[in-house]
This record gives sequence, structure tokens and C-alpha cells, in this order.
Amino acid sequence: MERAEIISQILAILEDVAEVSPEDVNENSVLMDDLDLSSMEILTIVADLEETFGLRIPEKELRNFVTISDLADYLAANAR
Amino acid sequence: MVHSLYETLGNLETVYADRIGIRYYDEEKQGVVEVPFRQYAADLRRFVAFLRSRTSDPVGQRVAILARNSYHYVICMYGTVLAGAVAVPLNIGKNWDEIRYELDLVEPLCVLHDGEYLEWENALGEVYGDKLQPMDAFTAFEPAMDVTQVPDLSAVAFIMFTSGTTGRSKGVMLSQKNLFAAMPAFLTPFEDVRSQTGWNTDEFSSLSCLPMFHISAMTSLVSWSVTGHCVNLCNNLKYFYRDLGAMRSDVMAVVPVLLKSIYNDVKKDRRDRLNGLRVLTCGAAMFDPQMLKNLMDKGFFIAQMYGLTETCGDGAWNSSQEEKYLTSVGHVDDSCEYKLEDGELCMRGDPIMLGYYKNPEATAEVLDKEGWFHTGDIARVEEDGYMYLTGRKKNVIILDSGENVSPEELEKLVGKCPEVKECIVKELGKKIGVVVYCEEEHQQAVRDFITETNRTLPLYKRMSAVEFSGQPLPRNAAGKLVRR
Repeated sequence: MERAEIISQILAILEDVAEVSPEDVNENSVLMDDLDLSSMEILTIVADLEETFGLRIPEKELRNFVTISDLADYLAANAR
Repeated sequence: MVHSLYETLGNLETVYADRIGIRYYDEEKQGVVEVPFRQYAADLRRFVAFLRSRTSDPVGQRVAILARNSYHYVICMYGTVLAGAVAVPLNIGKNWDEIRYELDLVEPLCVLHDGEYLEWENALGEVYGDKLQPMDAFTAFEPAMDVTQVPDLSAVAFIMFTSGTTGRSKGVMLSQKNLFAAMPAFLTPFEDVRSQTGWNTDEFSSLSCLPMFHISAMTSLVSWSVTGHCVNLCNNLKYFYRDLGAMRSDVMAVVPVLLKSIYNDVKKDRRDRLNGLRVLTCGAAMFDPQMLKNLMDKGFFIAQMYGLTETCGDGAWNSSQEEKYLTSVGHVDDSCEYKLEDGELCMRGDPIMLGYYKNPEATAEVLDKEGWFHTGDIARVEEDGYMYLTGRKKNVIILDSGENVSPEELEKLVGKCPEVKECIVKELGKKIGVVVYCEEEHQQAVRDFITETNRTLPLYKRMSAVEFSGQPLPRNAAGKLVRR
């Protein structure tokens, strides 16, 4: 999957779960800081990403997700 | 009313035997598994047999549990206590330094684990390899049919760690006597729900998604089985909606982040995915009263609970649905005596902990000679008996996730950045914030350092707001940083 497509999927889920407008997000946005997401919102987003991309994201990877770019990198490397 | 896990076991095998006691979503089968109380009880007996295979005398020995929530977790925790040993449920989100400290402190007979922690901390295997046992080890054993009452119900049965305000976490020692003395505080609100709504609470089931090392999850797993009610386990918050959808649940204990998620669903007309959920018990942190009010208006029954690990979750509860009491933690209950000392809420009675494990100094700081436990919470009680929390004596940040975080611990981490001259960690908005004194040209370097530090921390502990100061941080007359 193209990286741009991955990012747009992430943005769509972000908007759905946390009402964050896609215009307010870029690749370097920090999930908890810039986007003000709660830990519960991040978990819900991860669950939605798993469903969308058909993969399981192990818990130990969660710690590495600080920015949108981190999420996109992981999905680009692991999504089928 | 039963007074011990052993007496409860008897009920699970007789009066409640055919009822469903536990439900959970099985990842491999991709479906819900239902466990009748009869099987639940048999598995508890199997666990006792397993523990006896590890030691000739389990009484008083510590059994650590380092795992994600699961049905096996329930069996390991209560099976341990049933055998007379001491259950030590650990927070899987903590880093190895903290877990190692806690394990070394309790010197466990064995460490029951599900493999997850070991995946990212090899050190666990290196240091505790010979004590590691899989959570499902008990399934290979036949049920021990000669289980008897433990010799002393006042002896320590659980050690539950709470974050200290300075330095290391503290192990709260709780006995079965503490646990069952607190039971009325968890059972009585049921009657309020029934009398105020007319709902048939006999048929209720509860969704349990808070971690089992948390006092609220630990006590509610017992209280629901005491009355023969089913608990639906949500073993990973990530799959909260899948699990709630698959297992209809009437009641759920929530922390603010969960409540907000539910609130958003109600607001966006997505209530169907809550699958009939209608009673929310709020605890562990402060809630937005307007959100509570809006949920009440939408037909939810809201109960607020106040308690601490040290009081075995006992304290106060508020099941009034009147708007004027929204900001109250409720009436005190009669399992304990209460008093205010210089505004600080103090409690005395059977639910109060035995003390902090191997830490008499810290115990003496909170438990005085007359047996009063000093909660650290500043409260006021109105003439109508409703209690309000107005502040805290201890320096701890209580997050919307219900987690308690020590500012000093994070300050030490940020202080490792060479460009940081001074820093203070405190609540900024609803988040963990850090205020840093450094040269202006170093601000980006400090920001980057904090971002990298956050990568080493569990989600809930991350510092998500950073502010800078061009001058030294304010200090009081004693030279200490001013926290507020």
C-alpha cells in the first residue's frame, strides 16, 4: 500500500475516533501532545487500524508510536 | 454473607454451580467462552494442587502475577489466596527497573506470566527464569478436593503496589478479612440501582476491563462472584468495543478516559455499540460533572465510588441521581469510622490495610497508633452527610486513566538531560506537564529529549505538555520547588 494511502486511512480513523480534523494533522504530529489524544483513544485507533489493515499490532510496538509517522512506518512495513 | 474465599468457593459449587460465572472473548476461537461457576471452582482447586506441587507449605508464600488480564489471571490470583499464599498482581506496564524492585522485595515462590512481558524484557528471564511459570500451568492438575479454610483470615493475602510520592512503589498488604469487610460497599449500591430504577439487578452482568492489579478490578471480581453474578472480562482495552458487543453487560466500572469514550458514542448516536450498557460506576479519579449529568439524562445510572488501595477500595459511594450531588463522592458507608483531621480524611476499621510490605516507616506515616489511616485527601462533609474532596496532601498526579503518577520520578528522568537546569512535573490541563528552565536556544533539544524519554515510558506516564521558563522556577522559603 502507498504511504500516502496509509496516512489518509490513519487520518480518517483519527477523525472518526477523536474528532481531529485532517487539516490539523501532519506526519510529525505527536499523538498525545499535538493531537491531545488520551491513551484510550490511541488504543481505539490502534484497534481500528488493525481491522483496516488486517494485522495484529503487538503491545510492545505501542510504546514506539509517538508520532503519526511512527504509525505509518509500522503499517507500511507490516501491512499486507 | 460469606467471609472468605473458601466460603465463597462452597457457594460456587452448590447454589451457583450452573450459572455462568465468567465470560471472555477467546482470540484463537474468535468467539465468546462461557465458564460456569462449577468449572470456575474446579479450576481454583486445580490451582491449589499446582501450588502444592511447587512447595510443601504454600501458607504465606508470595506468588507474583505478571500478565495481561485473562480468565487464567482470575484463577491464579484467587487460587493463590485460597491456598493460603499471598497473591502479588504486578503492573505489566511498568519498566523492568520497577518490576525487578517489586519482585526482589516480595521474594516470590514463583512468577506466573503469559509471556508478554518477557517479549520486551529479556532480563526477566535472566533473573527470574527458574521461577517463571506459565499462567495455565494449573490446567494440568486434578482439582484438590481437600482444600480447607486458611489458618488465619487476618493474615496477608494480597500485596498490591501503589505509587509512592517519593522513590519506590509501596506494597499494600491486604487480608481476606480486609476484603470481606469492604464487601458491603460494593454490594449495597446494587440495591440503590434496583430501588431507583426498578431494573432486575439479579440478572445483571458486569464488564471488567480495568487491570486486575488495580484494587477496583480485584475487589469487584470477588463481589460479583459472592452474589453469583457473571463478570465479562475485557482482557485488552484495545478490543473494548468488540468485547462489549460480544458480551452484553449492564454494569461497568469506568475511569474518566473510558467514560469520555462512552460519552462520545452517546453523543454521536452510536449507542448501539454499547450493547445495553446502562450502569456506570465511576472511580479512581475526578470526573467531569457535566458529562455525568448528560449521561444521566440519556438514561444511564451513574454511581460514584471513592476508595484507596489502602482501604481495600472502601470509602464512600454516591448513587444519588440528583444534579446537586454530582460533584460529591457520596455518603461514607458504615464499614469504617471516619473523621477529618486538619481537613484530611481519616478512616479506621476492618477494611484498612495491614500496612506496607517491609516498610514500617511508610506504614507509620499513614497509619497512626489509634489505627486511623490518613488518606492524604482533603475533604469536607456537608450537613446532609455528602462528602466532597477538595484537595490532596500528597504530591501525586491522578490521571484520567485512574493511574497515579509520581512527579518526582519523571523529574528525575527529565533532569538527566544536560540542558535542563531545573524542571517540575505537574498537571497541566488534564495532562502530565513538565515546566523546564533552560537556555532559550536549548528548548528544541530539551523537547526532543522529552519525546525520546516518552518512548521508554508506558502510555499513561508520558509527559504530553512541555512549557519553558527563561528564569529559575519559583521556590518556597524552605528552598523547595513550588508545585502549584
